[in-house]
Order: sequence, then C-alpha cells, then structure tokens
Amino acid sequence: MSLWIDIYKKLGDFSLSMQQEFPNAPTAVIGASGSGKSMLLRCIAGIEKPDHGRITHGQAVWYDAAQKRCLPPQKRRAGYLFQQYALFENKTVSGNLMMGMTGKRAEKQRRCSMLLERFQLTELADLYPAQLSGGQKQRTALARMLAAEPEVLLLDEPFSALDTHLRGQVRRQMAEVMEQHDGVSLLVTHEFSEALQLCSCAAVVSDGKIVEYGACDSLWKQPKTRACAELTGMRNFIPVPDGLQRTGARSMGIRPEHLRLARESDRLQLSGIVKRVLPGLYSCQAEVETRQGPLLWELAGDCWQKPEGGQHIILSAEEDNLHFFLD
Amino acid sequence: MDATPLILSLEIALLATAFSIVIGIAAAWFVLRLRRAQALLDGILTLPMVLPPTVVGFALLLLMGKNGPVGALLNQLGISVIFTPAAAVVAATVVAIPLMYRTVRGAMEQLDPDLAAAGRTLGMSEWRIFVQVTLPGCMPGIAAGTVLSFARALGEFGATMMVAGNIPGKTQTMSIAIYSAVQAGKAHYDEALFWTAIICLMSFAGMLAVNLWNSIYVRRKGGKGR
Repeated sequence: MSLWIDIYKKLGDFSLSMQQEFPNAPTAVIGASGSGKSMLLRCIAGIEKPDHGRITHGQAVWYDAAQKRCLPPQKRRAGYLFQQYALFENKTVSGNLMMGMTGKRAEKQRRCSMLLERFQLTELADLYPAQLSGGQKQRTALARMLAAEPEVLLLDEPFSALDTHLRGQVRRQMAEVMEQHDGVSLLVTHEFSEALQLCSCAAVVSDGKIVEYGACDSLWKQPKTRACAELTGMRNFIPVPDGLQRTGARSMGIRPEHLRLARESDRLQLSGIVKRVLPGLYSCQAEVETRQGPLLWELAGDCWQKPEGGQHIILSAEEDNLHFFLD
Repeated sequence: MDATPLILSLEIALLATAFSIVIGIAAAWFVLRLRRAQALLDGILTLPMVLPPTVVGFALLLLMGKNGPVGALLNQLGISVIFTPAAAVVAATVVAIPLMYRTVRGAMEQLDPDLAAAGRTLGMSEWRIFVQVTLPGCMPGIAAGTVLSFARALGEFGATMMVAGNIPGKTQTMSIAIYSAVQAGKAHYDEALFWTAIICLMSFAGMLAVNLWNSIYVRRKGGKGR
C-alpha cells in the first residue's frame, strides 16, 4: 500500500504545498530545519490538519478537504517517533509499551516482553523514563511505537537528540526496524548520510515544497536543484564561467572533493589564493579565495603535496563533475 | 469549648475542595480547547478571585435567593439553600474554583503537547489520554491547586457570611466564630485566639503534606534524570 499526499497548509508567512506518492519502502524526507518536513509528518499522522488537500493510504482516505473528511490519528495506524521521544513520565518502560496495545492482559504482557527483549530493554522494564539514558529512551520510544502495530512508520529526526557515539548503534537498530516493516516508512532528517544508510529513496524538501524525489544515489550524483545539491553536501556554487554556458543555467556547483589542481587542457580554470588549511583525520580542507567567490577544496589526507596559506593556485574539476542549476 | 465550628469548617472546606477539583480541572481542560471564547470564559472563571467577597456573596444571594433564578428552581423542589451549610459550601466552592482552575491550567499549558499527540498516534481514546497522560502530567499542579483551594475554602468568610449567615451550630464556621468572638468583646478573645491557632496549624500542615508528597513524587519519577 502506498501513501499518497496532496496537501496545502499556511502557517503565518510560511506555506506548505506538497504532492507526492510514497511507495512501500523506506523513504527519507530531507530538508533544512524550518523547511516543513516535520509538518508534513504531522499532517500525515493527523496531529496537524492541512488547510486543504487529500491524504490516502492504499484504499483508505485519511484526509479529504473536499469531502470534509479527516480521520483522527487513532484510526490512521501511523506510528510516530517523536524527536524528544514524548515518553509517558508516569509510566514505566513496560507501562509505556502497553499504552498502545489492545487485547487481553496476558497477550499484552507476552508481546511486551518480546518487544523488551528485541530492544534490549528487559533489564529496564520497571524503570521510569527519567531514569533512562538518551539511547535507552530512544529504544523505548521505538518499541512503544511498534507495540501499537502501525501500518505506516513516521520517524521525526530520530537521531537529533543523541550523542554522536550513540548514533551508530541506534542507526543499526533503526535500519533493522525499517527493513522489517512491511509498509510505508518515512524518515525525516537533515543529514544526507542518514538517508543514504537507511533509505533507498528520498524526497528533498525546501521552503515548504518537495523539490526533488528519487533514488538517494542519483540525488547525490545528479541533483537538479540547488536545494538538493546543498543538502547532499555540495558546498561550492559559482556563476557559470564563459565557455561552459548551458541554456538557462545561472549557477554552477562543484563538490569540494571533486576540485583538483588544473591542467593545461582544462576549460575550467579557477585561479585563487589559499586562505586557510583545515587539517582533518582522513582528508584536509582548504579555503581558497577566487575571483568567482570562495571555494572549499577537499584533499585526500595522504596527498603528497598539501597546500599552504597564501599560496597561489589554479583549481579545476572533471567536466562530468560540474553541476548546473537554474537558480 | 464547642467543637462544631471546627467540624463544620472541615466539612464545608472538604466538600468545597472536592467540587473545585472536579470543576477546576474540567474548566481548565475545556478552556484550553476553546479558540474564540477563551478569554471571556477565563475572565468569568477568574472573577471570584479578584472581586471583593461581599460582591460574590451578594451575587450568590441574588442567584440562590427565593426569587433568584436558581433559588426559584430549587424552591419548586422544596429545597431552600440560603442560610444553610449548603450555601456555605457553594460560597466556598465559588471562591476556591479560580485557584484550582488557574493552577491546573498553568500545569496543562506546561505539558508537552507531543505527549497527547503520542497517545493519539498509539490509538488511545481522548478520555484515556486525559486520564492516563494529561492528569498524571499535571499532578504537581493539581496538588498545589488542592492546597490553595482548601486553604481558601477553610478561611472563606465574606461570601459565606452573606449567604449562610452566622448561625451557631449550623453555619458558624471557624472564621466566622473568630469574627463573632471578637465582636463580643475582649472577654471572648481567648476563643478567637483558639480558632486562629487551629486555622494556622491546619493550613500549615496542609502545605507541609503537599510539599512532602511532591518530593516523594519527584523522587519516584527518578528526579531530573541522568
């Protein structure tokens, strides 16, 4: 069953307008903060109501402004993982898991202990949320969401509140949950690396709109919009140089790792002065001031010749690695 | 010394507190769901807190008197409220509600709205969310509101005097007994002092009890977390 949305919502100066079909697969929703990606998830879950439009899941109509139909969140069977977990403070870990369950007490307890085991929470079953660490809270929230047996998974920046060293661990668990889930699952994130690891497809959100949708690797290789390029880690945008003009193109983008020293034969010649060198573990970065604007140049850490501050250099890139944008 | 003012005060204050808990919580929940009429209803609910007790008393007298809209209705059923302990309960409830309503409303506004949203996405009914998520989340606020309401109801004087009068053994509460004793002259100051001490002790004990309960409640939830 796929999820189909066509929603409009106005929030002060900001307006959200999105049309998209999400297939039965893990999909990332990537966007900068304030781009409207969380609002999209909230509208799908039914926590927020769009101004008009339509949301359907398979045959079921969840929201239809024309028919004045708006299914309450309780009937949508959409599990939501909140950024700050939203655990019930007055209930224990197992109490939190049981809140979303229906059925006989013994059956609930059986399913609860299965979930506790799956998420390594058995030892913590009788603790209250305030006694848990960030990673434990995250696992509790994940288990509680699955306890209600949702058909759609909505994951709102699940790693944003965690320390870096915990992310890897939780990410593996999240990947497993998303793989095992038979249905639509949407992962909201502002980090492309998370999307790449956990999802095959991604929708890029910018300024309240879905500007691009496609396979994660093709979004990285061939971004069509600047918003998508920026979100997938492109840092250098300059005006299109003479001799490389494309119809309608107003800016050109190059990834920092695609820049290299220019050769005689290159059509692109960007001359500039190295401002600063930022050392790193596996690669080092240099800030280069050119006439076209500042450039960030990333070099492999073991490169034989590191640039120095004040050095005059000419940079270029393979023409396959140049990207042209209409904006 | 006759203990009826103490028993009467306790009965009236406990009943009034019970009513204001129910009405205050319901009002807070209801007002927060309103959009347009919110300010208006908020004003009406808070009014008894800012009005002089005599104004509240007089308004209640007009309402519940034989010719008042509520009084006339009750009269047909053969019930007369004015100058009975029931009138004292009504007066104490009316002045206690704003304290309960304000405190609980504050607690509800502080509550993370994602908690209720989480309950909804988990399929919990609105009533279950209210009972199992919202109310427990507001517990410290409800406790504080209860103490304030009880103290206010226990000390209620002006409005009670106007609708329930000063009938020894029937409607004479502790605070009214103090007033009567002082009115009766210096010879009765001992009596006034006695009731004053009782009220002070009771209010203080109530505050302590809630503070104690609050610290236990916080500890049970594991303090501020790690």
